[in-house]
Amino acid sequence: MDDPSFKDHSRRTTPETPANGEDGLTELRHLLFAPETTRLTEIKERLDDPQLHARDISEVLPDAVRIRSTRDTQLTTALTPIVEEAIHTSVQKSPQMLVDAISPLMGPAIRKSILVTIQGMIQSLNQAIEHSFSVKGLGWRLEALRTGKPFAEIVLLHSLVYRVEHVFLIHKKTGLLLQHVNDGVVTIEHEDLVSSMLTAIQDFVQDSFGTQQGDGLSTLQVGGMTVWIEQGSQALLATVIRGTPPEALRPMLLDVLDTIHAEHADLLVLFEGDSTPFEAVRPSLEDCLQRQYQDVKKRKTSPLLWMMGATIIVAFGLWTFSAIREHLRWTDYIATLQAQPGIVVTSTERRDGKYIVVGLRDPMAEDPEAILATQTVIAPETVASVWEPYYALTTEFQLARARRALKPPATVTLSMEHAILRARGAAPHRWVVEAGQLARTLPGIDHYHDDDVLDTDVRELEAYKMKIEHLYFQYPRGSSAISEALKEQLELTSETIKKMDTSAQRAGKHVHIDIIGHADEIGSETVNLAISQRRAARLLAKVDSPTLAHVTMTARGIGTQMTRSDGSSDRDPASNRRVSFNLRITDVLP
Amino acid sequence: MIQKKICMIGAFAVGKTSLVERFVTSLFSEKYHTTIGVKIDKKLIHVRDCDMSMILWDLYGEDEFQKIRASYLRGAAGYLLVADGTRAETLTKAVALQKFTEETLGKTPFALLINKCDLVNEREIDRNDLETCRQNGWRVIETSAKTGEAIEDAFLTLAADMLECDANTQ
Ligand SMILES: Nc1nc2c(ncn2[C@@H]2O[C@H](COP(=O)(O)OP(=O)(O)OP(=O)(O)O)[C@@H](O)[C@H]2O)c(=O)[nH]1
Ligand SMILES: [Mg+2]
Repeated sequence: MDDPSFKDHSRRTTPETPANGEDGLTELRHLLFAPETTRLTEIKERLDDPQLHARDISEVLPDAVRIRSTRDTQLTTALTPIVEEAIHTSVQKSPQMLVDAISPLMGPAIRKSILVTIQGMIQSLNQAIEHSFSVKGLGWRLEALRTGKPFAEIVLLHSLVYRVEHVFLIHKKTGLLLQHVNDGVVTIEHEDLVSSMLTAIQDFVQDSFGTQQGDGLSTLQVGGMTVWIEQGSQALLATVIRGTPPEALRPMLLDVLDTIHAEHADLLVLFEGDSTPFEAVRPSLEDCLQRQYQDVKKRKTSPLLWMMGATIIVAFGLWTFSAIREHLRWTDYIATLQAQPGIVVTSTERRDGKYIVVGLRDPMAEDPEAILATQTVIAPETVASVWEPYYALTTEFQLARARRALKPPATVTLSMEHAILRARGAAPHRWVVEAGQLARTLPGIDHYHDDDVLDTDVRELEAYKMKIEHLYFQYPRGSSAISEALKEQLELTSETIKKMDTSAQRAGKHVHIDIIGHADEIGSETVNLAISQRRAARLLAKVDSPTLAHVTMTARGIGTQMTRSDGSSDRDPASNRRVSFNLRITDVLP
Repeated sequence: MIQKKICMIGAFAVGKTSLVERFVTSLFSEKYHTTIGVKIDKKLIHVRDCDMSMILWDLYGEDEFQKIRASYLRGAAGYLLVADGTRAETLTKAVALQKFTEETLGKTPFALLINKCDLVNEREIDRNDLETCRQNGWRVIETSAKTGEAIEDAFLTLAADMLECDANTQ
């Protein structure tokens, strides 16, 4: 406590001491103790004044704390609750301050801790996987016990050894997806994102664990999936595999990657984001979609069990053999029926030991029963059939049905095209008419054409008409009698007219015969007209008969109005003394 | 369809993730979840008669503990340099990162985004500094992930620059 100010103070106070005798003692005391007294007063003052006291302690506190904390932990223990309390109060009063203070630390701190966690996780994951191999069998049994499923089913579930579900070809530098194929079973939505993320993980791991450039992450485990990443100089081949892939798969994947590098070196180096040229590698990638199922292990079985099994198998085999044979015959029969035109099998079933076949059958189709009897060895009594009649509308059946209905004569041929029935040839009038009516009623026929059918009755009638019109009766001058010479011709005429009557009936026609008498130009006109009328009338009387139902006749004389040699040079009066016929065939009015 | 890798680069908490989120999903959140490692997103766009799939690599923000890694930048066809308008030091960082990125990638199209431009009162970055950047030939765009201001513009401008760059190298 060598306070310099204290010394100064003592020197200054000396001249101020009182000088009277009574106060000699005081004076003496003063002389003797003055510095000490002042000092004491001062100390007292300093102790009593908290401000000064605090100032004093503040001078020594840092040193005191330092000295004490090197000696023992008492001070820390004493301060801990106070500091805690202080922080608590501070957080409650102004949390933002603390947040501001530590937020720059938090992000990086979190990243650090995650990095460490990932490292730990990957390690423990690998351990877990290795471990699960050795105790796999036991694990399955436990699983069976736990899930209540039969053990065999669990084994089956696990019998998938591995399956490559996705193959990614990734551009190494940019992480962009060059091409992706999947096994068609499992699809993913954003394969381009997956591609980039795989690259990012690669980079992350490569940087974090300081591995050599070029030998980055080659295996990733995500749940039950394994991701294998093969490295090439320009591209990565990532395969997502369910199950446990065999190591032997790797060389194959590397081969594919090498081939792609060799074949598309330029494209890979120059790649700027357009992946279309890489469509070409799809087949190679698809080759990588390998899979394998495990054989379920066989166990040793006792010979007795074997024999029992064998017996059962033989018995079952015999039974199935005959069942199969019978079944094959049945399906054969059904196939034969199906192949038949005009038969449609709609359902078949086996009920109470009987085969039942239900279907549609055109009445003109083959008889299914006959087919069953003649073409198969199936016992007819084991088969029940239900056939609904229907009209098959195939050309073949339409024609057959038309033939059956129309009964065309041999001279008519029928043909069918686009629902149009066509008849060609020659037929009696009656058939033509009837066929025309019937054809319209046939199912599936829209039109019937018979323009090319010749009506044989009408043709006959026309022939008779020609024949009669070519006849003419010639008379001596002034005569109207039928001479002996004309007798034969008269008979022929009557005969023909009679035939014509029948023919007209068949053809549904009516015939009118106009008998025209003529005269030569010799003599007066009045006489000539009269003689011509007589000639026609007399012939009419000879050829007309009440039995004629479809032929009518009239007679008239026209004198010299239509002389044959009219206008020509060689006038022959004899050829104009005659009777001629003019025939008109008309439809019978209904 | 052409694919392009684009990186989001900048100091921490400047809004890189928010910008991507706004561009891809049109959403914005006030919450801050720092990005760990890298987050990858995709956006299909159409620029200059060309369909482009932008694969956006949102990198963690650089701070004193984690420097940006060259491996994440590799193969990027363009990048967005992001600074926070309310923190002047993030611009300094952006300038440093631009240098580093160009050393890694070579000359590559990019744009400087001054984000959080909605916080006008807290503005710390001086407009004059930005002028200097512009004079150096940088594209500078003031954005806000919160209001969505100039976000589309920023990404599409970059896309157009990348196509231009492709055309020039061919
Ligand atoms: N007001 C305002 N806030 C923003 C804007 N953009 C981002 N934020 C906020 O800023 C904070 C950080 O945003 P992030 O997008 O996570 O930043 P980051 O750059 O991805 O950060 P790191 O991943 O840690 O590097 C969040 O709380 C956001 O809500 C903006 O434009 N305006
Ligand atoms: Mg982020």
